[in-house]
Amino acid sequence: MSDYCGCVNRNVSRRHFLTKTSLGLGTVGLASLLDPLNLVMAGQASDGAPGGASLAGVLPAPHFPPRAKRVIYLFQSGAPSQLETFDHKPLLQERNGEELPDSVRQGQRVTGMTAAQKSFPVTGAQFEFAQYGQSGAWVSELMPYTADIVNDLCFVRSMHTEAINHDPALTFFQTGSQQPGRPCFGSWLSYGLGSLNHNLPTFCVLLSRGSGRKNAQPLYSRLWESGFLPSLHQGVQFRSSKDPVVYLNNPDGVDERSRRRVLDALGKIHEIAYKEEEDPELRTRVAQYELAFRMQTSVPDALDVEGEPDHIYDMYGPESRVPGTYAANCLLARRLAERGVRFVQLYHVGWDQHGDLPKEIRGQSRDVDQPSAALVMDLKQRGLLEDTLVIWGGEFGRTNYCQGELTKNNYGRDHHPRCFTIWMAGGGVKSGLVYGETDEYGYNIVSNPVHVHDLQATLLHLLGIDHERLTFRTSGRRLRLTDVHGKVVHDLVA
Amino acid sequence: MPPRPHSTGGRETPDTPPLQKLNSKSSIAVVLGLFALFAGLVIVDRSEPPQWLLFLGSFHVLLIHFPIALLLLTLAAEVASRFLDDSRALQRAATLILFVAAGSAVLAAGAGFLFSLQGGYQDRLLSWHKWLGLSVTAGAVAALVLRDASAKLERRGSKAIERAYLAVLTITVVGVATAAHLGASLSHGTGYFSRHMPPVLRSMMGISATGGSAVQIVDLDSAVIFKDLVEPVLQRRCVTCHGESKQQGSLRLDSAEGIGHGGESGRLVVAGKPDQSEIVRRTTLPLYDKERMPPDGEEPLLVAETEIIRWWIAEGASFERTVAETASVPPPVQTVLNRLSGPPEERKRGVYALEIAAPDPAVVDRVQKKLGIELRVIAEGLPLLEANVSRRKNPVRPADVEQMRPLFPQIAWLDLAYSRLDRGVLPLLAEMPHLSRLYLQGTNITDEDLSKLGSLKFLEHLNLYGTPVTDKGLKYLAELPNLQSLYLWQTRVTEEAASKLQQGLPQLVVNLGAAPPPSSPEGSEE
Repeated sequence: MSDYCGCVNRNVSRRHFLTKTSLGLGTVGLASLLDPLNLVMAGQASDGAPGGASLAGVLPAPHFPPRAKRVIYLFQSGAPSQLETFDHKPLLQERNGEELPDSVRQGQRVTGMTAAQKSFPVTGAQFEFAQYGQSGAWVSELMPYTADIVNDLCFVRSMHTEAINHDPALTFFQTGSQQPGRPCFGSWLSYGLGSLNHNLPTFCVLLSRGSGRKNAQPLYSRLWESGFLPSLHQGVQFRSSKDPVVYLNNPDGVDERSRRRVLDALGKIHEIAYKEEEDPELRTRVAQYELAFRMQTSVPDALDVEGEPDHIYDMYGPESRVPGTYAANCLLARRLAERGVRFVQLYHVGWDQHGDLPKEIRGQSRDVDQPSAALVMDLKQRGLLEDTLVIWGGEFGRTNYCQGELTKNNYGRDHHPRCFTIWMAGGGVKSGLVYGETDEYGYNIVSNPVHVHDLQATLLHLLGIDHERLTFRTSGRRLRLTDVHGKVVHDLVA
Repeated sequence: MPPRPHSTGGRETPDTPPLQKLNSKSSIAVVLGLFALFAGLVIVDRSEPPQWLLFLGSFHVLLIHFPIALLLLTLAAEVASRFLDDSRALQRAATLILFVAAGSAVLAAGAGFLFSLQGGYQDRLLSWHKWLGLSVTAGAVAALVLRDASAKLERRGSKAIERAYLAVLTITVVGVATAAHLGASLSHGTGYFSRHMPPVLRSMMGISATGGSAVQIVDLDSAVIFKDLVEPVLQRRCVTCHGESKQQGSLRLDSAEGIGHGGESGRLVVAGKPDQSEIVRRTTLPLYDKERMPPDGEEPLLVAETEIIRWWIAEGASFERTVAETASVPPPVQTVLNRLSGPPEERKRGVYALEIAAPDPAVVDRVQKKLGIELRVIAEGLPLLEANVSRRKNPVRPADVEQMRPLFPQIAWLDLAYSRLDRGVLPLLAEMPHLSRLYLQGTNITDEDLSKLGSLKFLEHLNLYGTPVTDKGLKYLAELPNLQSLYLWQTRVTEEAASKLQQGLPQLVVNLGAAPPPSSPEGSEE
């Protein structure tokens, strides 16, 4: 009886049991997975130890020589208007206030927020545009510093997405699916390529608040969660304050040696539990304990922004001295990337200008323009831009017609997934390029559309990964960041 | 009484065990069975065999395993009994085993003959299998008779008969193995045995390396659609049953004639009309459909594979047309083409294009474990490594680098940033002939050290930012023919020296840093 109970009490989940028992068959199957004749679907990178708590990536080597080793993603949450920043449409300014012709919208649906509007007056940007650099890219007066570095940038004006609301759209950008539950980009990288510096997290998240719109859309921590991947691969959120990581010092009476002993003992206990229950999360937990221990010494060095010289602060702008701002986060991102953090995810919220656009977007642009440009320049002078990919952009675009009342000095723009602009720099991306084009009303894409899945496939490609071959088997099939879509946009690759 | 090959004591008492009786009489039955079999070969009408005979033939697949296993077991028992002190039990068992072996051989051969009437097999291979199978059956029966005789003859002449028995048994076992191999070739295709044979073994046995690895197409445009794309799919997935050794449904897909001729059902290929072509229809049916090819229990073709076939037919089903001559390439096919056209552009350049031996895994392992130096393969299929020796707590000593010596030819990317380098490290770097990216920012390297780097003809990226190098050291870099990017921010290098270096190396981009004044020329932008 006691034997029987012992057997039942083991907390082996059904799925885990099935996974374990099929391991034998899996080994046999491995031969066919490794079959070089397999034309299209290369096998799922085998997970190896069920613990999965290894800091090495699951891919024994990248599929291609990587152009980028690190990513800094400057996410502009809330969706910045492309029409006020990088997608210059003089026609809108010319026809400001006129009704949007049906031939442009072609009966396409609009969001619930403006569907009830009786009229859709086209709305021109109230900002001056000029052309810069070798590519002649149009940049508005809102982004003077960005305008200075256009020769290092690659603008994609033909981005489009499927989601129309913030959270699904963000989730789509991060995970390739509008429904939550899939791993996000940084987690896939951590899982596939592993850590570059075992003393720091592979995937860090830095948040900042915009000065344009105070009551901004919230962000959920699942935007940096690892979904079905081992939770070792989730993003580590830093606090937006003077001490981004707290409790780095040992409490009184605890020294490093005793802490080490505690961790060793904990490790043993967890290993015993692992042998009993075979829950991979146990090993993840130990790996996280150990990382936290190493971070006690590595983080103070990585986050020691005080040591930065004045001329660097000057580059990033005055706000870079204020912890928790976008500018300070940009500087921090550079320091983390320099030390081998693979994926630094910044979020700057407050770009959701349904109304009061001219005023709000000024504040938002001021927040991000100088620090973003400084980050690119700073990486460049350090030789890091060659293998660090910087991406700037939001989750969708904004409409060419006005939401709410269009007055002489004020207007708003609704969500618009059919076209928007992002820019990228470094990491094997073609510099000085403007890619894709929208119609003269800035409503639909007329050439070289780039879907979110295409962008994801391209980013993975630059990181040396074939997006079709970085997969994880769960729920009965191999899942990947780009789901069953995505094609690499080779035109963007240098 | 079973035969005793060598005297290990007194002979057996004459009381006859029941087994031997069974043996004697039943041997005769088996022999008669064999005659019936030969008679059957002559009598049965092969052109129109009755249905029930064909049904019985299917039992060949089941029965055949008995004689194979039991004949081997008989030989094993005979061998083993010669090493035992008291082998009577084993001898008796061997008698029974041989009897069942011979009996089942007769049945299996009979069923096999009927099975062959179902048709669809290559004549030559089948005839070899058939006659060898019959010989094996005859051999098994002969062995049974000889064993019987040797037991009966007691002393006189038993030695000679016993030798004959053992010889016949051994030959039969060799025969059964060969016949089994031929049989497997019939059902699984002629190459089944060598298909996944390791290349070493393959070359030892003199088997050419066919079908083992993906075809690499060197020049995509001149690739022939059929030969380079369609045929490999057919070879891999179809010809086992529709090829040389077997022609299910009277269909052969291993030659242009066979494909042109088609099979029993429908028009296999209708040039220009993939949707009317039987091969497309059958391979794209849903999984549960009985008509689907490859049949039940086999993996279906991959989408890319069916798309390739469809594309080939749409483009006229020509056996000569090249990729360049096609009207359009559908996206799934393009994906395959990209894969087959070999490594991406990036790999064909610089050090990636060199033939370098793969790194020794033992050394890689040792360096990682002993020195804590992280080594990564740059990309799958490339022998090149990147080594991370950056931000080390302790100074990097020449002895450490020396330990990596066996990997010097493979190290292409080396990161020493922010580590302290002891004297003597830099000259060692010059011995890594294939270095293409070298990160030395924040190190203590000097002008003199730079003079050592002149031999690195593949060096493309050199980061010297934050080091004490000056204009003096810069002139040594003029010897680096492939240098493309050089980072000199926060060094004592002047703009004049940098632009002078740049003049000599037109492809080089020197970065002296953005600060100070933002308007200052920042090396070159592109």
